[in-house]
Amino acid sequence: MTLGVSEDLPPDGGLPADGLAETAEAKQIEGRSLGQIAWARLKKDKIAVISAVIILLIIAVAIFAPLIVKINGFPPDQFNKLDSDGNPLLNTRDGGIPIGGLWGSGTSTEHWLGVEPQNGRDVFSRLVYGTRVSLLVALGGTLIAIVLGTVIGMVSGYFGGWVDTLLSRLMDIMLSFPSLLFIMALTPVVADRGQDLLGIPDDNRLRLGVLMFVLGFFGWAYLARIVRGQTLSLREREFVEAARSLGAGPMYVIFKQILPNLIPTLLVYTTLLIPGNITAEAALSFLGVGIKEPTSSWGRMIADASDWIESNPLYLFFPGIALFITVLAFNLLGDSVRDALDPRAGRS
Amino acid sequence: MKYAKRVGQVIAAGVTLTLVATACGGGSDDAGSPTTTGTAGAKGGTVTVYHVNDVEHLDPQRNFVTDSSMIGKLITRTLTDYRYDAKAKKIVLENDLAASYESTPDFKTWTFKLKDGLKYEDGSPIVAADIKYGAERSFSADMQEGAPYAHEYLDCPGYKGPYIAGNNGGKGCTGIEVPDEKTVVFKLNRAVPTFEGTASMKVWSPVPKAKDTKTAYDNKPVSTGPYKIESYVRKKTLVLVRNENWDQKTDPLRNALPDKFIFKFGDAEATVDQRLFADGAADKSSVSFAGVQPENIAKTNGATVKDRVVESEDICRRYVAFNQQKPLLKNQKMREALYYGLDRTTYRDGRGGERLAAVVDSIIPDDMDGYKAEEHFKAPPEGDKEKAKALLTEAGYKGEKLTLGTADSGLAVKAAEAAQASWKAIGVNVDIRKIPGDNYYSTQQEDKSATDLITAGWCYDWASLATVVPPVLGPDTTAPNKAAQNNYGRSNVGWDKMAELAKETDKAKLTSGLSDLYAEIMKTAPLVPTVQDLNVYVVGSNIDNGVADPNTGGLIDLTQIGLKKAN
Repeated sequence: MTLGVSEDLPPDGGLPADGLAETAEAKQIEGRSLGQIAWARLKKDKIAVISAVIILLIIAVAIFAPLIVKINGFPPDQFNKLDSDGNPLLNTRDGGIPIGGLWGSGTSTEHWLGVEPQNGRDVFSRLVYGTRVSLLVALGGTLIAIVLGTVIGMVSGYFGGWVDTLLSRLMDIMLSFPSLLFIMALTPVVADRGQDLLGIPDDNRLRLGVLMFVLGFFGWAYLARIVRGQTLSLREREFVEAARSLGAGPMYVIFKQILPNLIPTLLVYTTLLIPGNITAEAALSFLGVGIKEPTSSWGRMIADASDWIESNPLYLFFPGIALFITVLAFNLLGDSVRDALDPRAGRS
Repeated sequence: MKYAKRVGQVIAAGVTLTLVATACGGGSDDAGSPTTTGTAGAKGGTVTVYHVNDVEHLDPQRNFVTDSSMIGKLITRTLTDYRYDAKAKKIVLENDLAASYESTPDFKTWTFKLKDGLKYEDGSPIVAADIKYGAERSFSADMQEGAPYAHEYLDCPGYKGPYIAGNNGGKGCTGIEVPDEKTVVFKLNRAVPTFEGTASMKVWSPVPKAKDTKTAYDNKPVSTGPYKIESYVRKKTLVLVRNENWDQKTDPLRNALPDKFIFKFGDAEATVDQRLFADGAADKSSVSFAGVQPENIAKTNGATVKDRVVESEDICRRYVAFNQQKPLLKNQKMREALYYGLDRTTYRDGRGGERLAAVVDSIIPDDMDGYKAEEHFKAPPEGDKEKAKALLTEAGYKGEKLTLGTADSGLAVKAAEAAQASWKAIGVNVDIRKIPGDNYYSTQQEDKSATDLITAGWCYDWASLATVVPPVLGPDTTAPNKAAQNNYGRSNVGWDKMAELAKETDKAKLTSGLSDLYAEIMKTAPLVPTVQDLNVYVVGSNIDNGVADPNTGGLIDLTQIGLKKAN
């Protein structure tokens, strides 16, 4: 989406989705590409702009987590027993509940969002670092799903015949799979056996890889079906016929002629898949098959905090609200992108 | 004996401070009325007991876990048993079915005489032959879950239980003799000076041969105790009602005040906690096997709750063993560095704080004969970072990763994280490996799958160092050169001395010998003792004399409990 757009041009009714490749050649014509139109629409959409700003902020938090944590001075894995005045942070007589702060959360000028019960780790620091896990897994899983889904969908749609039959049935199987159950069963096994079978130490790199892989592996089929459908119609179009009659091979046609026309679809699907994957990662961490202790993740924080909801509700609130805002921002942006790219959408 | 197979369920058995009975003197012939500890409440009524899951075995020969032991106390009597005197805070050995016992001076032949007037729930008399038959059952391959002492100690090599080979041609285990209906003689393959404590294990309970249904006996064992099974729906409910053929005059251990016990299995701990805190009409006469969780401890200070709180400890001790099969941990300096580096106070907080755990300096309970305060390392509860770092340099540690194995359950993982953080503070990289609780110990027993650092625990079977030091630090008695079931550190220091002491027949010498040996072995830092568990229970407002039995996993003692008003 690097296409520049001049605001003063009158909005166009919207071209069909065969835009990008053709308009590149016909750039002198008055009409604008779908991308340009969508970009213009997006910029006018307040919700989209706010969502995008929030997402950029969250990404910045993830990237600069070590710097941010330096400001408050409490590494996320550090157990804290005392505050800087030497007063205890936890009431170890009462199960290790934080002392003071809002509703027994231990919030203070030092620990902005309080400390964890039983161990005194700084909630803010853990929340900041948890952003990394959530985004990394969600983006990685989404990328894998998009690449797999696009390639398999295009190949299936373009070649047809037995290839299509085979791949379509594979999609059916993947779609009918109880994926969450499978992921729950698979993740610890892979992590446990990774060492024995593959010689990979069971550390967080492996865990992150496994999480991305399973989310991607179970996420591609739906997209592949959509891509297949679009490819089926695109391959009959004149520009594809033309390319083929000029002697273009299937790889060229798929990646140079068809793929550019799928970009709007992929874009919409990506922005909607990311929040789904963030939630899925949190759910897996919640169920105890996420990354390893002591690395923090929002899902694990929520799981730990749910025991303490009565005595320390804020402990649950902070990771909950972080997850909520992130997922909502991605979802709203996804909706906006879809509306902006929809040629039939009414514009205001 | 495996510690905490499931959370909070530990095997218990024998006990502590006050071994009243002297070596071969035989027990007193006192079968007087039960000595009640608190105020005995009204007789009658129904007590409801919540438990998060069903118990594994009620068959006396298979019953060897704390929760089932507590239920077992209500329906099964043994030769001797331990009673917790809550007032004196002492655990006392009493004669249960036995009227008296004596041993030969070499502690290899023990003779037990049964009391008069003992009956099963159907009114038939309990005879010595049934005790022999019961013990024989435990040799059977299907009954290996129970205490191993009958087949380990009795002198009948090659015997495989009553169900095969025509029960050894009808002779059974030749190590047990039954000269008359009231006398049973055990011939042991080794000297066991504390066999009267061994006799408290349920494996010595009588089973009438005619009523034996082999493994199905588990569902309806014939009662010898004050209650019998009225109905038992696995994983749902167990209902016990009064056994009219039990005679209180013969039983110094059980008050048996309520008429009925209803056990409800399967409700989550948190749900049960809420019910007991609320003390609603249906739960005024309820108790739970599960203690209060850390997040709810603060609530026990509430005005409507604090008078209904029962706190207890138990005889178990937790530790982290250093697996000496791993090259890094063969290095004594490395083990010492880890010993000093562990902050046991944060470990305690991971296990729920001061009311749910207490830091210990030994795997020997501090109220047990032979306990000595740790004097060699003198590591403070918070650990000694400076010393640990210095030792780490001496050990030549270069940042290699160590794996800490823990059962995959809430508090265990929290404690493991605490250990990880305190070792990280001295610069040791520790990775946590969570292993599902039901195969935690079997994983750690396999050399191939065992982790570097192993969290474990141990509850002795009866009050003798012989049930603490050899099982945790000695060789396996069943296979030569193999570490014992609980010797997760695979330490082999002091095994020769241990073998010598196994022949010792003087109790005092045995105790002091093992005590010194333990101190000697601990100088090599095979493990670091961490905490003992404490329990906090909330009981219904109509419950009277709610005390916990440290000898049975610190659970609420159902043999002593009563109701203020029969419901």
